Amino acid sequence: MSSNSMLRSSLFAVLCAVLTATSLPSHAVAENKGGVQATGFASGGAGLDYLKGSGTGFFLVGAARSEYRLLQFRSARDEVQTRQLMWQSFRFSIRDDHPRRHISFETALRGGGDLSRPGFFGEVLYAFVDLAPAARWASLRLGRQLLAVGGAEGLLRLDGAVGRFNLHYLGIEVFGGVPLRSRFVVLPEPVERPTGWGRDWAWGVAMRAINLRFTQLRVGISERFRDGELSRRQLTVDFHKGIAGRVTIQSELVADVLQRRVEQFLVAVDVRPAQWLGFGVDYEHWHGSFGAEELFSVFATDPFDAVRGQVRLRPLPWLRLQIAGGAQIYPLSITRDNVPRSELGRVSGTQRFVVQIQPLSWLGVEVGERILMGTGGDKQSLHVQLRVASPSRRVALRLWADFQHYGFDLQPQLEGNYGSASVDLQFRPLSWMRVGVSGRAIFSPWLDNQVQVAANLDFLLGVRRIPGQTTSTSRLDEWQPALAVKSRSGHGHSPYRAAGLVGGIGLRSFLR
Amino acid sequence: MRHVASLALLLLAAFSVATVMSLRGAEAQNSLSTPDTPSTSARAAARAIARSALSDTGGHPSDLIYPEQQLALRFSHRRHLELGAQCTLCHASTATSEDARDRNLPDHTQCGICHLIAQEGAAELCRPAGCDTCHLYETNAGESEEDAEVARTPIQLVLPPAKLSFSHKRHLDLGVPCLECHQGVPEAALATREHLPSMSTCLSCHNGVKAPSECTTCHLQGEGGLLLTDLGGGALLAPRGRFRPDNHLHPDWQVAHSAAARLAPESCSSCHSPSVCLDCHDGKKPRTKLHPGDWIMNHGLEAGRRSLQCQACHDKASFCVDCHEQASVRPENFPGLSGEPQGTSRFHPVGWRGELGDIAGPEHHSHVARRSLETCDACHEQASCLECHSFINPHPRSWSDPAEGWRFGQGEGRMCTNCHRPDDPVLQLLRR
Repeated sequence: MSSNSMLRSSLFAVLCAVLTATSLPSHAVAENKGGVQATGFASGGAGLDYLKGSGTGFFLVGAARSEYRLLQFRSARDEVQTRQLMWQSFRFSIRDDHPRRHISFETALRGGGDLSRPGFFGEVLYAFVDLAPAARWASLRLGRQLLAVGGAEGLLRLDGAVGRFNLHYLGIEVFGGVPLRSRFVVLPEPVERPTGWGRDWAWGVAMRAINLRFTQLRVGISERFRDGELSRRQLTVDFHKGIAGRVTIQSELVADVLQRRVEQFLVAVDVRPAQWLGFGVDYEHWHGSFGAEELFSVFATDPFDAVRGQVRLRPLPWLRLQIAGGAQIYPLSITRDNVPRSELGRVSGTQRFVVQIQPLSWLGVEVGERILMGTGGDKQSLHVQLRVASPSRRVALRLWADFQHYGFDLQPQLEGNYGSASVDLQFRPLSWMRVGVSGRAIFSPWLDNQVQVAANLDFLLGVRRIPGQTTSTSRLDEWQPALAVKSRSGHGHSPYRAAGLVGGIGLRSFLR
Repeated sequence: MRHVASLALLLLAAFSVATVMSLRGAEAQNSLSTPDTPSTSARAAARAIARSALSDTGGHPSDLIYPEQQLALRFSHRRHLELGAQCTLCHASTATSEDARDRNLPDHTQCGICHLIAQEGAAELCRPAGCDTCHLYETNAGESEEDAEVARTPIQLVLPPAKLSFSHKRHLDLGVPCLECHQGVPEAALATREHLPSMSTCLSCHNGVKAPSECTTCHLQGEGGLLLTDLGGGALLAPRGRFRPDNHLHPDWQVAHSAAARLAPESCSSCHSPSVCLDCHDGKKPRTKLHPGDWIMNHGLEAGRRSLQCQACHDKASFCVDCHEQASVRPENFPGLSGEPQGTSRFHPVGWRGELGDIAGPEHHSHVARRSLETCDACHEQASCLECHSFINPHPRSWSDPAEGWRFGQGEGRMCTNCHRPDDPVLQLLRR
């Protein structure tokens, strides 16, 4: 079976699934309401599920997502390349429904491949056990997990443990384990590259001020080892203070202790004097920093200081305006052999204006404009977005178009007009099922009529089991399980390849 | 190192001072919210101001948590309380109520104890005299209220339950006075949504010390144990940044949420599974909210400006390199030691490399490297630099200062051995 025929049959199957699903009863839920993403189940019709933990049962959640993407792009050698990518990802969790105590297990897996090429990849995105006693004085998470540590490490993904101990007003956080790196999966490759137990690991400890109204403070220090040697030692301080619900002060400090460098310092003030008015200003200092073992740590880099401000207006309930701007200043001029290069400039500016109109709950329009100027060339961009949803929010349509003109001082061959238009249709026939189709056309100075197509099919199933009764978001006989695309060797020599998107069931074809 | 130690000590001191000051504030707040403390007008006024400040609706209760009501009634709490009635006389069921869906309102029997109104079924036999004492009727033009009473039933009461998990019984058992939560009722005629407790009121006791402060203590859970954020009211339940730096409606929230994730991770996990983080942080789904649709084509230009701080979301080594490798956007296609590449997509301009001994032109890579070396690091391993810089001095101007040089030599000075032999006398000198 050729990839084209497989593609046709897959899309046909998706269409059938959509048409079938329309005849099923619906508990509507919106993917996006008021600019915030829904986090899971809807309330399920007229009655609300008051699921106060009884301590005798447990929750089960299963979720599956199948996604297909067709990409076309031009390589640096002027060759047009095509990719047909398919992923299936799965999430499963089980937890007790005790109102205070917490025991749970959650995992997310992902597998997929390029339909036009042999081979699969697969990985465990995370898999952890959570434990917390009823008094909640401590919590422990064991396994593969994500942790926000800040600074250059950002979001750390590690195999290890995170423990939190909560005293009355002081929280202590300790973590340690082997950090992992995911690889970008638009063009899938083997996805995990740990450098091995005992050679590459990270640990850290942080103190937090907790249980204080309107006030949070965190001081943390972490170390990262590569190949058994210390690569980074990082100190992070986060502070937040709310004043009377109208003023927010926030500060962040990241210091590279090994390089003796303040990598990032941010202080921001946000004020909301009235329901229709908000404004903020922030200052940021940035100085790039690298691991101690990296040669880059020897080179001198220029720090910059940035000042930004914004005003948010809501003069009418259906109208929001945002005006923002700022400047980025390099305190030192670029030099070469001690000769200042003044032509490169030391200040860049940015300005942004966005209008959001939502005259009806199911209709939203956004128009935005952005200008960047100063060092490195100017850029002007404009975007328009239209969101329409059916009154029951079973169907949501999003249209997007953007246009940019780029200038680039050091790379004038890249100057020109860029833009894209996209359409995204999401359909949720049931509270636990979503079907989506999207298409995107792109143009740029070196790439004409580039098209991307994507389709996804999502399932979310929740069951609450307690002795004597079971409640569920969907009846089990409605549940169409999504089967994992089996991960084989994962290094391009597999005789199998992904073969379609059929109702959440991944198929495989044998290529030999 | 002394400076670092000083910095750490300073930060710890700041932490301690802030904690102590906040503790004092919290204690003061706790003492204020002790149920036995009598209410004062000043306190009520302060609470009204706080309530107004902490609400997105100008002091009015949330429509999501407390849906709109239709109270077609004539009633005065003030008058009843002045006449000596106690709360539990009419709201007797609160003593056993453990669910926010319980109405806990007096029925006709309870009202009839004092008002002697007609009992159920009386309307079929005779005119329901006394109903208008409490109930309201719709009247048409030219129609008297008396006629309306005969012709119609009273306007229906609409009292949707609060979308909260709440036990009156538990609070009463703990000795919490009714007016601690239902402030303003003694001065009010009809009790409305305005007299239901705001989140700020709840948090005055539910501070994690005096009473639990987990989100699920009060907010509803869906299947899976996460908070139910879609309560059917049109918008989703989402933090507004009143208590933590977590204003989900802020235009920059999608790129500036890391502080909230560090300061209060348990708050995030009340609603979100970690898979939500991976939607963006693993790059599998491009977000046009953050990047335009053609981002894959022109992100390099923005990345070069460092204006978006790509590393806030993306791992530079893994996120960028794989794609560039696959698309043949790799070093041998750039001007370098392997010569000028063919094709229109040449990334670096002519003159990027420069010639040894020449004064670098404005397009020379050193300028960009100085401005945003991490951008170079996104695509290049250090071996790319060593091709030339192993014999062209890369050290900054202050390098000749032994103290400055040794600054980079700390941490075992491993990066030095990329170029220097371990037994290099210069290194030995620095380590001495």
